[in-house]
Amino acid sequence: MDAGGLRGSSNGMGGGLWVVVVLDAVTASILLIAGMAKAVSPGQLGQALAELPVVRNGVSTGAVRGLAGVEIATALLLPVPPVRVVAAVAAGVLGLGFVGAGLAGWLGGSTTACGCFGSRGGRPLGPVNVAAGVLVIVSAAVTVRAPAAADPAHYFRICVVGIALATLCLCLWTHRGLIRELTRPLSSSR
Amino acid sequence: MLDIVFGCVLLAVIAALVLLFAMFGELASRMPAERRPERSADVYPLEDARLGVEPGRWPESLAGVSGATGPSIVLVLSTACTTCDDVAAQVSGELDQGGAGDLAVVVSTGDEERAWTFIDRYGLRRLPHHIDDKGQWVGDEFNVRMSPTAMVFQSGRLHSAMVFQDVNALRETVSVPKGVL
Repeated sequence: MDAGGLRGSSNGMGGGLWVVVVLDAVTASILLIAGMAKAVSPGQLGQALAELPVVRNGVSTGAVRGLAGVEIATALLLPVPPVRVVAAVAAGVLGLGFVGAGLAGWLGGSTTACGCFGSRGGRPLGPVNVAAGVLVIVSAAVTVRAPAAADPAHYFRICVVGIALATLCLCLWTHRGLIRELTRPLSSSR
Repeated sequence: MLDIVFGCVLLAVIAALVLLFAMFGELASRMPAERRPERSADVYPLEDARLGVEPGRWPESLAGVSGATGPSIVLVLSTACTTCDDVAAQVSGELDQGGAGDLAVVVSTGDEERAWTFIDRYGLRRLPHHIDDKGQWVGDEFNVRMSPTAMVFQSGRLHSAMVFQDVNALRETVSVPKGVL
């Protein structure tokens, strides 16, 4: 990814920067959905973390909500050109946390559902968290290394639209069970 | 400038949508609990309990209860009682909403591993908790041999002991609102 390639097009959006936009959109959508889920029901993750041998004293509701706030703020700041590198570093640190928690749950044989990413299923901390964490770390590394866009306003516009689309898709996928339930005809209806 | 406003509005709308889905998910996860048969709101005193007694020894984890000047509630739950599961779920729900921090829990069990599983299932590590082997501490010190039982302490002494099923009904009986103790 060279600076010339990134700045090659008329609007400052070279092919390399499109990759950054896509990765940022996916990362922001993951963080936004994970953060909102933690903010609304912090107890489930608190229980799952309390099961880990490295977290013997449990995690308070306030701490989980605080983490949710950091995730949401990071997601919303990723498309803002002046702070995108800082937000990417924060995303990388959060990604490391996902990987750490996922590995601890995976290796420790965690059985408590974590409610991760707003999922209503009974999946505990494990490989999915590791995979999401790795994706976030890779995305953060790419964003940090990429040079700034020649047209920050255009970059912001494209990035926001990308985040909106990615978040919408991920949100619908995560809550597909709920959508299915809500759209299912009632047993008494004809 | 208009583009930036549009971008911010779009982000706010999408965040609100995600929040809405998260709240629907949370609401849906609570529905099965609401379909359960109604639990009894009866709270009645445990006649055999040794009221007014100051225990000879306090478990280390309940030191906060022994030193409290105001009333404190200690719930006695057992791994062998199904009502205790329901009570623990109610307490867990309150903890998730940021309440119930005024309670402490004694888990009576014959198997320590089952007790830890019980505590972890309901996230009771968030409260002062003590695993009571075969219920010896509550039995020997207070003659409390039923669960779920709520023991109310005042200045380290057992003020009252009540058998209950509904935590809200218990709080109304004790007349201490959430988070005040």
